[in-house]
Amino acid sequence: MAQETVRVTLETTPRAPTVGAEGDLILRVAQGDRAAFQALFARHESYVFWLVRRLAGSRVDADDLSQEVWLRVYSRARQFSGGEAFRGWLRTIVIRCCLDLRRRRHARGEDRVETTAGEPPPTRPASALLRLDLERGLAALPEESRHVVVLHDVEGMGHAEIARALGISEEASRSRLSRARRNLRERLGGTTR
Amino acid sequence: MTDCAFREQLSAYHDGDLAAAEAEQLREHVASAPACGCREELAALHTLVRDLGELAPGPVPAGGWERLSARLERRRAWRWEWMLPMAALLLLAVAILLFRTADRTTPEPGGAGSAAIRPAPRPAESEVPGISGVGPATGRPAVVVAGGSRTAARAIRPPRPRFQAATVKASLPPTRVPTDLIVAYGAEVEPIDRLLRALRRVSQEDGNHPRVPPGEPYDERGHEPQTDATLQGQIEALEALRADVLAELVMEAQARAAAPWK
Repeated sequence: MAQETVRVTLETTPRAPTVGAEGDLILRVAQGDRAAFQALFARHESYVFWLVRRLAGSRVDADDLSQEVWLRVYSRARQFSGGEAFRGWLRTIVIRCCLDLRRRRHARGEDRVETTAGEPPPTRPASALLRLDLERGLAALPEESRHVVVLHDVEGMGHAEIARALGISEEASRSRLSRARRNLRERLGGTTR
Repeated sequence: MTDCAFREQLSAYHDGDLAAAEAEQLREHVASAPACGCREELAALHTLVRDLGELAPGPVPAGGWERLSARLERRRAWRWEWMLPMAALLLLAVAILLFRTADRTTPEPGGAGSAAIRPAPRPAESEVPGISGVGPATGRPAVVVAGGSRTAARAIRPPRPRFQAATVKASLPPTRVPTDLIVAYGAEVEPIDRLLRALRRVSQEDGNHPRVPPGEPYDERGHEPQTDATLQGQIEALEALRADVLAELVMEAQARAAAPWK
């Protein structure tokens, strides 16, 4: 009976990287452990890059901005409290970096420079083409709408969370999402499956 | 596709954010296959949201860690490049501050309107206003000039150890005075003489004497008014003080001559 209990316990133990595992890494990063930082970077590099790219709507910005995100992670590792999910904490930093970029650009009076330089050529299977169209459609959306649709439909965040992260009301978040979806659907036309 | 009032609600309906009554109305509207195209649009919305939800991170540019690592190194190097000079500057500022603070403990020429000959181990007030203090060697009253001019104050900086023995001797009556007494008392006479010289020069240089308009507490340089009456009073008090010092010197010389064994 006792053996059976142990077996059940082992089976229910999650194998995937958990909050605890990330928490241990970030704790070591806070102590200046460069190897732990590299491990953390390797785990989440792709996530950060693509979230930044979708929020910023620009491949050109994404590379530099994701580096900035990681520099912030390194310098603010001490601020991570083990009680929250690491992915959520990371996402908050990404959103703040993107909002900071937007503020800097508004302050300088610069418009977003969108470019698809370096995009893979469109000789891809249907799913890849769809993905490419979606990414382009997102990038072409107005910035405010894009932020909401990426956070809601891609990241799965709720309106309350989005409102807190972007500093807007929940109603504004819903309204922007509705507008963004319609805009995106019109741009994509019949591309989606 | 016509403009339909329900179109605005499709997104909220899809997310389940509509109130029950509104949701029911929209459901019935869509089920009726309207000509406005809401049905098709709702279906397209479902597809779009599903596709967006399935968007996974794609490939990332190569060499991300190397670039990040280089930036971290640059930032660390930048910190050191700035921290050392900043620390040096901070130390320099502290040193200057300490130096200036120490410098202010010595009398400022005309700064606060007063200057003192120090040290003054025993406080003793003179009867003349503006003159007070105790002499360094014998506890005799020394001089503190309140409201002195710049010239006078410059003259009463802390006394230098040397003094004019010949001046003291010349001031004494024809009495045999041991050299050690001349040295001891001379150290007190000399600053009095310097101050007297300065005060007399000020009283003679009428044009340099700062004048204060009637009723004004300070002159244009922020000094207390120095009237001729107070200046003359200070000169007379200093002369009396000088005479006292010399008289005491003579008395001590005579006492020593009478009882040389003491």
